[in-house]
Amino acid sequence: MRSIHNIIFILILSLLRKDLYMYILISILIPTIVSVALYSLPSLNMFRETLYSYDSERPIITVSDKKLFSECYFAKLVEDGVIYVDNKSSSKVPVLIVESDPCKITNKILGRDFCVNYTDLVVMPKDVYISIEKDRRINMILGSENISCIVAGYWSSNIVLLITSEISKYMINGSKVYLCIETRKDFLERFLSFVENDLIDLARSWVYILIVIYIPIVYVTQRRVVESLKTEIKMLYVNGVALKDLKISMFLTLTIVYVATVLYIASLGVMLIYVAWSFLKSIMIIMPPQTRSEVVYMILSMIFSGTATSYIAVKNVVREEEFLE
Amino acid sequence: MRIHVFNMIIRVKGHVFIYVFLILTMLSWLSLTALGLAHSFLNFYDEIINVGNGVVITSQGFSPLTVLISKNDIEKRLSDISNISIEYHLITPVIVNNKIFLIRDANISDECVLIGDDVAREIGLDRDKGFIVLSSVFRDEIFYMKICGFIKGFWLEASHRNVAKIRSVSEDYYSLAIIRGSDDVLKKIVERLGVEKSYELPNIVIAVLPRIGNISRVITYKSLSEAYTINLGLYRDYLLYFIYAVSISTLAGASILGLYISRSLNDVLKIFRYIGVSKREITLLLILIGFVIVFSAVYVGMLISSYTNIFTINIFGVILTPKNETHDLFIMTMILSIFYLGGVVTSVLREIE
Repeated sequence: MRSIHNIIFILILSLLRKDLYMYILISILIPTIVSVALYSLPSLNMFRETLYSYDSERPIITVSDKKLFSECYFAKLVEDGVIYVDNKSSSKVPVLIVESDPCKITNKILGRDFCVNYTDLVVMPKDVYISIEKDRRINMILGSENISCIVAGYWSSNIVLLITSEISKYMINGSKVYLCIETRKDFLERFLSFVENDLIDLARSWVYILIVIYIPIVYVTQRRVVESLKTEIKMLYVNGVALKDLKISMFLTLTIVYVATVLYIASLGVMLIYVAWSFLKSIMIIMPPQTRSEVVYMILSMIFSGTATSYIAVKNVVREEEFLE
Repeated sequence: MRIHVFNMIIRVKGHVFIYVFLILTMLSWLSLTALGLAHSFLNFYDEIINVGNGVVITSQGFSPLTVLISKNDIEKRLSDISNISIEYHLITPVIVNNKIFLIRDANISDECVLIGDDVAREIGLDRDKGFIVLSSVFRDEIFYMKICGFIKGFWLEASHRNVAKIRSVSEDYYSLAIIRGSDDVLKKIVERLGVEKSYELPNIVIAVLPRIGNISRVITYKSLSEAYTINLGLYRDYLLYFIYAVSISTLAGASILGLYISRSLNDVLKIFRYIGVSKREITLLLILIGFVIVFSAVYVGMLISSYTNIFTINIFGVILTPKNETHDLFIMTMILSIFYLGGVVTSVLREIE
């Protein structure tokens, strides 16, 4: 083991003296720097404050066929509801029956609580509401059901919102959906995270392919480094070092230099990005970089692939017959 | 003699060139894809809004989806200019089934909405379903709309009244106006708007900033996308330079392959030298083969980039695919040649005696 230490030391010294580390540095410079740069792009969430600096707590209401987050209420959409006021019927209107606590949902939609125990509530389209007095009880026909409920208020939507504590009491056919409510701030955060993740996914695939394409290039370089150290390897062989030990030492030498170079370039890259930003921000509007932890996985995969190519390069170059010649 | 050497080198060491060709093709494909996506991304608004030969009037903001101009205001400013046609567009984001898409105004009935094929596919819409529920990003309301048909693309279309409702503005407001007319008339309009510095027609974009008192500031941009992205601190040119730098630097590995070539061909090249082929001839031959490889690699890379959509960006449901410009191919061929042939020449000079 001690002898392997010494051999590695000799090989590293020879490699450094012959400037062979430059080949390795050149071959991994680009994939490492590009990985670091792409994984340090500014986060889109930094635009959040700029985009929604006002009204960020106002809700956004969506209708979806899936329950996506916590504040989603089970609902049914009936297309042909008919409203009766003073025995006069309206034309057919779409009605969304939502199963929820009326106090809670009216607060979100109308901006104030409107609670009446054991009674269903409706929020009317504005044009229909104008002809009705507020708090008035109205009748509605949905399918075969005749429903009596109290008007809680109006909104500018063209949908009648029927809020009930138990949707199953109505035997009505309709599209099963979810009514979801979230603040603009949460919605924007979700949207920006989605876009950012999409871009990061794209960058990840791109960088992984780049690393894969660079594997043969790294192999060519490592092979060249081993070939350039052939004299030293032969010398050690002639002096009685076993070929197996030489192979292991050469492999470890290549791996150590490779890993050190990758780590050096990656840390230099991160530092350069932040230094460049701190200079540029004084002369132009520029978002701060944000190095993501995922860059570690990129570096690990580069180290893994580089280690594998080191092994192949050593195996292909350091062969017994050449040294026995 | 040269032909004979050429044939022999290809026959004996063809696999080395194929190896180099494959790697260079992949590198070119990756670089062209990055550049193509950058172009698509930076021209996003110019792609979705067909400006053509016209002057665009919009206001300061982050995107045409958030800015507003008043039709009355524009018409007042241009009331005495004849021989022009003005197209007004209102475009806004809309939420359908919890995903964001774009909806624009069109001449259709107030009850109707037209759904883009790609939108329908993205949300898994049953084509027999007669309605859709749209949610506004700007107001806490939802809208029931009848589906009156399907159109091509990633859009939804509705009447101006409905799009204005979703955008939560009165019907006088639009995202932008495109003014079309002869160059002389357009120049007159640009001057009327108060542009003092030099500008170029056509395709000039003019942002009319919000009034501060009675004063309007006017800024011109080269492209519609730039007019908006600049407000997010994203300078179009700098972004493009960054992507060019990344794309070009990915090609640097070609120089290592160039350096590798003469070492791989060492045994054959030694024989050529022995039978009297000069070092200059060998260099020229390797440059010639190298140029053919580079040229083919870039064009095969471009074909792969154009016909495979492995890398796409989804913005508001619009799928952006790489779109390369002709000069990208020229730049890539040139840079790849410099890297690869530089490596080849260096290696021949150093390795071959």
